[in-house]
Amino acid sequence: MTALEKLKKRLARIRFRTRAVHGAEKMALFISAIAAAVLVLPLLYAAPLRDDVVYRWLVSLSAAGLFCWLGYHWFLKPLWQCVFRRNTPSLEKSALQIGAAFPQIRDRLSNALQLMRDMPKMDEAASALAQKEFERVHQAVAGLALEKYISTEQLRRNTATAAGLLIVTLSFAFIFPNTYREALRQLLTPYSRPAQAEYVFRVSPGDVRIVRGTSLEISASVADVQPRSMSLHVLYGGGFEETFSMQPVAGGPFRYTLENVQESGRYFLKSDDRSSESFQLEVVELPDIRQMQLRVRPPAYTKLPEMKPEPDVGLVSVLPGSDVFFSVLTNKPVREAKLLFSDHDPVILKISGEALTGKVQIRSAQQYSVYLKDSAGLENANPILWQIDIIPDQRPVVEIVRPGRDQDLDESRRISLLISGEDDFGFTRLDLVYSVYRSGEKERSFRERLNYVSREATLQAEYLWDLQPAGLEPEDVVVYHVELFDNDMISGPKKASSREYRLRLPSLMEIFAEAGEQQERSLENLDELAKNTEEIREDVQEILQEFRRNPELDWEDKQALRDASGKQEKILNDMQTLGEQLDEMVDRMENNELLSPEILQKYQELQELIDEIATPEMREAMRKLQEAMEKLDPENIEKALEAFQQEQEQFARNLERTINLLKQLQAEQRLEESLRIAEEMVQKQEQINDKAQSESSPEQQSALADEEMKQMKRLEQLQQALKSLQEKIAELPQIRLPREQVNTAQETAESQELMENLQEMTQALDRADQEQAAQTGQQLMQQMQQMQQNLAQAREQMQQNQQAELRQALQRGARDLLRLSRRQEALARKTAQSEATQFRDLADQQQDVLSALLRTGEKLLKKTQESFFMPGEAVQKLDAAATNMRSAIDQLGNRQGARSAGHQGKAMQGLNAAVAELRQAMRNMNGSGSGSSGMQDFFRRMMGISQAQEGINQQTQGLNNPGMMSMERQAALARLAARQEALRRAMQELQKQYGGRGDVLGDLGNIAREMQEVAQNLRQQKTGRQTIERQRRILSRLLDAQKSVQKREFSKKRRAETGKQYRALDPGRLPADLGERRSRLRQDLLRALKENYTRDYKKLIRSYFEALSREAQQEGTGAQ
Amino acid sequence: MKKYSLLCILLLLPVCQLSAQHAAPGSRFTIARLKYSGGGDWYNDPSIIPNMLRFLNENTNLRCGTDEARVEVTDNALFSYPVLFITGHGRIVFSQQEVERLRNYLLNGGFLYADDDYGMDASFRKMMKKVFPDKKFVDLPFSHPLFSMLYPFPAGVPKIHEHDGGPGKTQALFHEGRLIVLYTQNTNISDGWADPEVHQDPEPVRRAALQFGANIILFALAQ
Repeated sequence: MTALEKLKKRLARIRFRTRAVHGAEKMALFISAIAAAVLVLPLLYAAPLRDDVVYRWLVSLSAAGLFCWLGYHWFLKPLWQCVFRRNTPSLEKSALQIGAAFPQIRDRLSNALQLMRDMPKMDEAASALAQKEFERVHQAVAGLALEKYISTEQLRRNTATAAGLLIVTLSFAFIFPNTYREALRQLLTPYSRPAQAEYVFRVSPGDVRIVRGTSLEISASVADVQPRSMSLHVLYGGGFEETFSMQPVAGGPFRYTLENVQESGRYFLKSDDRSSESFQLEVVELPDIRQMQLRVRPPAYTKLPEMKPEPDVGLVSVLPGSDVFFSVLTNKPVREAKLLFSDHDPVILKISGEALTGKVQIRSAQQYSVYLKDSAGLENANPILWQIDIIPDQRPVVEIVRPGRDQDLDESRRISLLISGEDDFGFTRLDLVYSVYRSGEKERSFRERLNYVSREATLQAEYLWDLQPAGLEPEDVVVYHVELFDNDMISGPKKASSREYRLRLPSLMEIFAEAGEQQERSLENLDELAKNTEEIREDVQEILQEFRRNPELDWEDKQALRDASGKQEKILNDMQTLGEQLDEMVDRMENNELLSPEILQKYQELQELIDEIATPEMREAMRKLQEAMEKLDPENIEKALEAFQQEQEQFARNLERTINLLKQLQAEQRLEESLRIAEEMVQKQEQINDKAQSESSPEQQSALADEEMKQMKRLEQLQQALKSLQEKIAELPQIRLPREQVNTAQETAESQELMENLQEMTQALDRADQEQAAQTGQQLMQQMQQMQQNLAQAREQMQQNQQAELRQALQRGARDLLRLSRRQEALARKTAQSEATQFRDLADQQQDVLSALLRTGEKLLKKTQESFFMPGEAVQKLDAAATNMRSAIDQLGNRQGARSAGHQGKAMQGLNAAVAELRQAMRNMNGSGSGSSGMQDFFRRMMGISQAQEGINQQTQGLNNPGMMSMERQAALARLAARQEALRRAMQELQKQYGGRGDVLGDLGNIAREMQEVAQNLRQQKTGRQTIERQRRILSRLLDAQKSVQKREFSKKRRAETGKQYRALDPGRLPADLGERRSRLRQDLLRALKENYTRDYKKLIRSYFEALSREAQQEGTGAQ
Repeated sequence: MKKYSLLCILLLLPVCQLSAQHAAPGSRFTIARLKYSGGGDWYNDPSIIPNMLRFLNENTNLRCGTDEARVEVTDNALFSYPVLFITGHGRIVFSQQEVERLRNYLLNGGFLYADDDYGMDASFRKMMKKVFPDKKFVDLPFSHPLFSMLYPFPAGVPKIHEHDGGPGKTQALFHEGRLIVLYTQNTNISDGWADPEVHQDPEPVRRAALQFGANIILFALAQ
């Protein structure tokens, strides 16, 4: 390319750019003009000009002309020139224009171009010069930036103007869209009526969305106008329209509030016959709870059923640990639902359509609400805050109802507890907690779990507490209580403790001392009663004598009799109380095994005597006396007085007999007590002596010294018991107690030597001087054994005396029966030989013999009824003899001599057999040895067998220890089998001697047989449950047999003779009170007395109930 | 009366079975023989209760065990037995603890049947007086359901053994209208339950004793 071409091309480019810039400048001017026109357009349509249609046409045509002119000149023409007139102006002209912008060039460039254009027409020199010139110009412009010629300054200004105008116009149009819209409309359609420009409604809020049920305030005004009135029109679906009159707010817009909007629709406003455009009123619903149902499932341990509160009630009270189930129905499907708690993590509810479910376990009180969110993101408004309250699981309470007080233990060391507890839902555990205190110091503590588990709300637990394993010693104290745990599995079982009680194991001495005191009190009471009885008797005697002189009773006499009757009644009641107290005392002694069978038997007699002392006859006599006094019948009064006096005398005699018997018993019991203490002393001394040699440490020796000190206390007790015994012996000269042995024992007990030995022994033990302790201990042992022997001999002697009386009774009985036997033999012989005419006489004689037999039998039974030696067979034989005698009498009446003689012969044989039995009994008595009674002998031997059996039983159970070597076990079992066999033989021996009394003792043979089987099992090394059960059974029967001999009922009537048919009288009907009248009466009386009656009225009520009670008692006399 | 008895039985059998089910510790009802101290032979005639139970099994819908239970008043199992039976020839002694416990048992639904085997009358009455000082024995009229429960006894308790002669007695202690202690005396019903060879009673006499016993047990369970 040549320089010229390059230059031309450069100039052409500059030319095009220059034209494009000029075109753009005009276009910007065009835009500015259009924008400015639009901006002012509403002004052109301002009232009232716009109402003129010509004006509107003029404006529209002018606008169109202007738009066309401007469009042509400032838009189409530059565009056309730029696109289609690219070669104009010519390059020379363009070069001239450009050169004008550069002073160093000016027209040179244009000239150079012209030269170059004309060069072909030039000659060579001119061409060369032209070429030269062109090259100079070319060089001159080569380094110039000719493009600077194009100025864009104007373009920028125009563009800025256009942009500014455009922005302003658009802003106005945005702000006043209706105005511009209306102006444009008028401009484009000048033929149409102009809009009501003066009624431009300004409405708030326009299109709106509200929540169903809420209120909507609509305010409206009209631009530049203050209308006189305005109404709101709401159109609902289905064409339903509501109209509301809006009220202006002072100088401001009109307002109206639509309350509780329920339905979507459209609304618009009307004012001065003009309507606003209509707006959308959309009513939306917030998610909400349509229905809520709670269900409470209490903790499983409560066993309570599920609870369902009323629907839509979220306020509940629950036990800790309860599961609360929520079932919620919403008004619309929701996207999110949860329970929000005050003190718990939120619980997400499971969504299924409009149904929500969820569960939460409640452990503490909570406030909660239900949170809902729908798919539009709307949340439920103002959810209700519900409360879940906690019902606390109450603590259990427990108490020991029985014994419910501190008390002493008896020898069995068992005590029955009745434990009462309460809880709301049941219990899991009941513990018996106790500690043993010895000498005020806690020795050990125990916790025993009682197997009482209950889901009931109340607990009544009976527990027989065996304290044997606690290893109690006398004077030990057991402090105990129970602990009850409830079944709260949520917060953990709660515990309640009962009150603490104490049990004490009294010492032998204490029990004896207490019993002694009780006896003394009883005696004093009896003496007092005897004295009172005597006084009453004298009073009655005096009144009776006076009455015989003058059969008119004055007021004073009547009063005296009433007093006497009242006193007698009181005495009877006191006797009953006394009997009960003695009963309790005997029970206690018996429970502690402190009474010998003989003394126990005598106590029973005494109790019966006391029971019988208040005879029904005495009460009847008192009642009759009362009646007679009320009727004032002299004859009856005298009779009643005499009867009363007689009963009193009888009562006094019985009372005296009771006192004597009690005194005698006291003496015997003192002897028993002394002997027991002496035995205990011997036993303890033996233990001390043994330990003194085997335990050598100073501490052990010191402990033994303490034990020896207790021996001193026992000695003091023994001295007191013996002293008391001596006093009793002195009071009762007739008593059969051997005084010599008692005296000797007392002398030993009170001897200085014994006391000194005790002190010396204590000191030796304190010094741990074993040698001295051994020597002194031996001496003490001898002295104590001496005392024990003396007392044992005294007791034995006393028993022998009693036995001697018994023997005499048996001898007398045998002698009398022999005499009767001879008479019976003679009578039988005579009957066999006599004629019928003599039978009547013979029957009389037989009747005499029968009567004598009954008398003798009665006497014999009475004398010997407490005797273990009275053989049942003898009684049976006597019974058979009496039956034969009766038959003989009957046969004589029937004139059957031969048959009668037969019966008489059998009667004689019966008598002889009875005599033989009695003699055998006497021989048994003599043969029982050592002067002890038969009962004692039997007891001793049975006790020995029982103890031996107990030992075998325990050892057999011990051999079940699996750790024991088989050889060792085998040997031990063989030894036990041998011992069991030996016991069996002893049992058989006993059976031979006393087997005739099987009715009393049970079948001793059975026991022996069981023993044989046990021995065999032991030999075969069978020590299983069966053998042990069998051993227990044997022991139980042995103990039963021991107890059975205490039975006193001993009569021929015990034989099981099949009953004859008797016609019984029907009692008719049950009494109305069913035998409970007294207690009911008492309850009724107490109830009546609690009422607020006057004192006089209460007195009347009391009298009425007393009368009823007396009546009930009289009715009951027969029944009991 | 017969109709009434049948109705009673029909009505009472479910109750009996219920009671029987609750007669722990065994699964079936049994009569518990009361062991007591004092020297009396509480254990006598070991065949009587098994025979009575067998009779109940064979002649009523009551399903009983076959062996007697033995229980002391102080045993923890006492309250497991709805019916206690006490008999003997001798002395009965209850300690204060036993008295209280027996009272508790009887006042709380227990039933005691006592049959005097001759010789226990005085001490039994004395003990019962200790147990219930305010109650007294009343004679049961022949119209009482006990005499017609299952077998009719229009003339009162059958006379099994002679003893004192004269008719037997049927007495009872009540608590709030409920019969809690039944006492038969001077007849020895339970001797009639023994094996035939023990007392050699005629079969009709034994049968009457067993029938009366069945009345007692059914009444005790049903009341």
